[in-house]
Amino acid sequence: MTLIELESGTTILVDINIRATADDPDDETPNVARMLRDRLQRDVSGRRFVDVFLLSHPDEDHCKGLERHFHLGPPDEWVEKDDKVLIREIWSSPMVFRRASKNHTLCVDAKAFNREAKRRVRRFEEVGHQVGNGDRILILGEDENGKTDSLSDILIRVGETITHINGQYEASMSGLLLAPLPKDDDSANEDKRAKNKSSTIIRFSLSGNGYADKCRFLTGGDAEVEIWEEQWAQHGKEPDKLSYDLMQAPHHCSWRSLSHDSWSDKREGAKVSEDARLALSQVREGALIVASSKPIQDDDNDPPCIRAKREYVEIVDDVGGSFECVGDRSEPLVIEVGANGPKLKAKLLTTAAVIGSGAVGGQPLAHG
Amino acid sequence: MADETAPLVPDAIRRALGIAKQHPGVTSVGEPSFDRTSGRTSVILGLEVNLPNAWRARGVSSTGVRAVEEIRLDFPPSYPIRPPEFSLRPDFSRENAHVQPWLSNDGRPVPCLVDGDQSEATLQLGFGGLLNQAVIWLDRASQGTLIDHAQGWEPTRRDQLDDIVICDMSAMRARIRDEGGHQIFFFNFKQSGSREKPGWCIGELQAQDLEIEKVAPKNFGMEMIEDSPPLYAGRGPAVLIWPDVEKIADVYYSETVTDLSSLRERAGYFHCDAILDVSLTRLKVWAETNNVDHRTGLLVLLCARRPCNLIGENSSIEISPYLVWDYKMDEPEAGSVPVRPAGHRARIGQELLARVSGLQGFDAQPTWTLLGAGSLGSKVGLHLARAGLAPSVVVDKRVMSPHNAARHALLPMATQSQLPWMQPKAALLSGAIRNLGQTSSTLEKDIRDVTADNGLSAEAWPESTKVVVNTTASLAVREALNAASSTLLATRVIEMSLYAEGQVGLIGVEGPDRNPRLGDLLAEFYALAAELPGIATRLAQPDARELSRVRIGEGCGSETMPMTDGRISIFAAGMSEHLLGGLTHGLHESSGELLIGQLSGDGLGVEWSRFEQPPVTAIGCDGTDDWSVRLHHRAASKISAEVANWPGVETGGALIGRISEASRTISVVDVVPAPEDSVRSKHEFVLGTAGLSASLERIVSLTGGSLYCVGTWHNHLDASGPSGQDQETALAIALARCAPSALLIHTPNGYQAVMADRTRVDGPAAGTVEARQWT
Repeated sequence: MTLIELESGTTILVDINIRATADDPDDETPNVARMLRDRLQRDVSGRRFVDVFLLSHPDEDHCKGLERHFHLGPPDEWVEKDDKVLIREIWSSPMVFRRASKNHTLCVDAKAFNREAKRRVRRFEEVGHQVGNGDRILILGEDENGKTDSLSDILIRVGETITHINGQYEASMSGLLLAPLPKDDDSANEDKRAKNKSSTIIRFSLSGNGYADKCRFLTGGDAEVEIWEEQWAQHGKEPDKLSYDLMQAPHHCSWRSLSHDSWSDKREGAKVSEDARLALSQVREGALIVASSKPIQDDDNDPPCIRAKREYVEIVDDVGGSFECVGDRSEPLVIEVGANGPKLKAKLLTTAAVIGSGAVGGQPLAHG
Repeated sequence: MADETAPLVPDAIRRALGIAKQHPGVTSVGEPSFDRTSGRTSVILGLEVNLPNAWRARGVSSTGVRAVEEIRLDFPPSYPIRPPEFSLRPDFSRENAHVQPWLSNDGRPVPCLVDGDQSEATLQLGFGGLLNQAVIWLDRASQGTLIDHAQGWEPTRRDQLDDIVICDMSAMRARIRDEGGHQIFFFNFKQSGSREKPGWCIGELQAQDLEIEKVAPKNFGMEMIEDSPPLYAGRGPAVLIWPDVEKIADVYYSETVTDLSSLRERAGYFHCDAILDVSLTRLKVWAETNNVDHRTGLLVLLCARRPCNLIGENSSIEISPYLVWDYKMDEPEAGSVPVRPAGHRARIGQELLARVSGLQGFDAQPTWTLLGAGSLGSKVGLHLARAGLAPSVVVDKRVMSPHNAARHALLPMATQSQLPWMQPKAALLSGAIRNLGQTSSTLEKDIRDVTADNGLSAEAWPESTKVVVNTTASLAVREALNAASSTLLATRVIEMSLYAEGQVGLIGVEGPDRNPRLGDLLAEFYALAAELPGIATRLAQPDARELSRVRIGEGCGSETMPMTDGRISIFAAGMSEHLLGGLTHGLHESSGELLIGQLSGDGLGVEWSRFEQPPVTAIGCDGTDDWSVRLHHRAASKISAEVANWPGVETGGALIGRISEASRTISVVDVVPAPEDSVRSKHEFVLGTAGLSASLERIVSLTGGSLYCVGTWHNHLDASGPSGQDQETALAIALARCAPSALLIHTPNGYQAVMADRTRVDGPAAGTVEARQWT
């Protein structure tokens, strides 16, 4: 789960994975639902909302908890008692128009997402630009057989840039859509893509303290090696399109994004795909790569994979950058974008820890 | 070494270091070292600074802050009563804002971690909180954001100054023009110590422009007024120096001025060093022309134009005062002459007081009039004046008397004679307000006369007056204000009074267009008091309603309530706060209000209850007479309910309220239901008698006679006016009662009224009742 808070206050939520234990006060796994809700504003009707929810691809670990924590359905059916988060605008891949295939057995939340996306598309077809917050959707990428042709007003084609959110120009962000590529006529290619977790890939450009393009953020869901090779084939001549200050290591720091070989089978004998690595290494000075995964151990696991981490560390080392794994922290990883680019937020003792410092704890100030 | 040292490190410091080890931003905690001589414990911490990507790659920020910074903590033996000193590595750039003007003993820069006293902050935030401050400080220093321009420019940190200059900085800023320049003023000062061993200096700048060339030499100089310890008084020049409008000083430099050379250097940072030289040369020419070679104090006010407004100011000009202890005007070139940064204090005045009271930002200074400068009025007046909202006019005819010292907010003068104290109260209060930098005019007149005179009332409450506050506790004044016509008094009146030996307090605020007005509010207060158990009991205590005659001299007494000064203050504080809110945020726009305060059981506090007071319905007379019935909301709604309860027949009841002869009004606050033996029919309502007298007496008793029967009411099923029978009934009532009475008639088209007044019965139309039809 990644929450982008733009300088304008606009929020973009990329994927969620909220386990049912999030509601159990005795459970020790981080309560990401609460952490998220604490950061969201309420609208004039008292509804907590995100401006955008982007589902990179419909795997369970990217949409888990959607139905439970987010309001799905017409916005006027939101009920105070449930206090679910309203999604003003959905960014969805055109996958929702496709029939489930052998490669895509959808989980409950993914099905709910598809229903909601379809509802919003229908709503757009009914009322066009009259569509309001809570009913909005952008389709990221064209679908096969011209299925998305009539939706050009809510369609972002690959290679185009997202500049509007909720129908308004958004000065503090632009998002270059890099994938999913249109469906290939060559069924062998298409099959390859499907197997390689064809996620939405966006390269965001965020402003810092009013200055444009202070942080480039590349996020690509679970896209695997062939997708990245394809990206390099597309953009190798204009690598700036893939450049970043901050990247989320694809597929939870999986080796499968960098190599065709299996990590557990071949271990150190596994070969890195040069093209995929090139696509993932267009780093700017001091770039930061973040793995959204549990702590990375030197073992056979994948993801997260220690070898992938080593590759990424090497990539950022070239530019004096750094690699962070969110699993190494008990608190969310917070990155601030200022006039000087992105930086990790300063680490402070929490209020509880400060108060917990006993005899020298905080106390209110009196006025004499 | 550690073994030897360890037992000597106090427990509190060990605990602090334990916290440091827990802190997520601390990368290392060194071995503490204990200095036996000073008792200090020092420890080096490594603090992580999360630099933006590009600087992280280079390991250092553009402001010179490293990815891991070394901080030394020096804990005094008295920790945690005294805070640890945080110091930075010796080569840490001092060009960052919020670096203290001093260095540690061994020359390390000291960050200014908190706004205010670090001792207090340590105890308030705890050691962990202080470490957080250090992490945040370094984070901001790395990004050059220690000064948050959105919040405003943080004035240069200049702590522990021995010298203080009192000056109206707004007046100084008003002198500053776009083109760089200087202006000279007089500077009066007192200073202690000697040139070799200077003590402190307190000075005051006189904000009148001075043309130095026209000043006689005798105007400058200093003389010793006490010799042990030495104390000097004198007068010298003050020069205000400002740069051209486009010369912005956007780099923060910590305060380093110690002599004339470093003052010039600092003036250079602010782009006005040449102007400083010009001004000092001008003083030199004057001194040479006039053969002045003696020494006196010199004040330099150096202006820097900042890129944004200063925090809490609506100006971007930062003015820093510097003091030259004994300046020789004919020798400005002596660069080593010691110069001391001086602190600034604003003059006592409206702006300063409002700021300290947290009352900035409201439009145009509201004007208000205080009636009564007695124990309550003086407290309310001074509370408001201390917030920068002094009354514009104080009206009181009385003269201060020695016994007033027990409870008046003003203090008798420090003299054997009590004559200075025995002046008009209004004048004394106005004098105190003047000392608070504000002006109040005075009117030493009887308010009853003021309300009857065009000229006096224009003086007492000029047209712009927002509110008139009556603290006189005088029934006569209250009646006069209530009766005053709208041409003489259109401003809303607020009544503030105490009852029952300071157990009950009242704030009554008239509504817009003075409806409800004072009389209505008081009638409501009596009605509410009867309903509120605590109040009713207190007001019903023997003598509670009576003023006691307190002996104030042989054969002399004063009508007052005996109670302590503190008791009055408890109420005066709340009353002042309420008035302050009304003046700054506006009075209620559609109604009046009553606030009733009750002293708590332990006598330590007051609980105020607020009752909104909607406008009353005034049923005026269309004839020559100007009596009117003022029907309050409570009574009107009970009448409507009763009429609705008896469809098709007439019904009625008795009216409860007050009669004011001065304002010729009958206030009807409540009704008593018709007794059981009343007869209701389509054409007639006969008010019965069963138990009615007892009910009415109970009300009189409960309210101590403040509320009583003021007549009767009944309804007509059509819009007809008073019938012949109504006139006869009015006559009967008129003959039976000394007081005037109302016969109120509810009709489908509104109210009508008949007045029964015995004086009219014997009047010109003898034998017939003076009956009037009201619309």
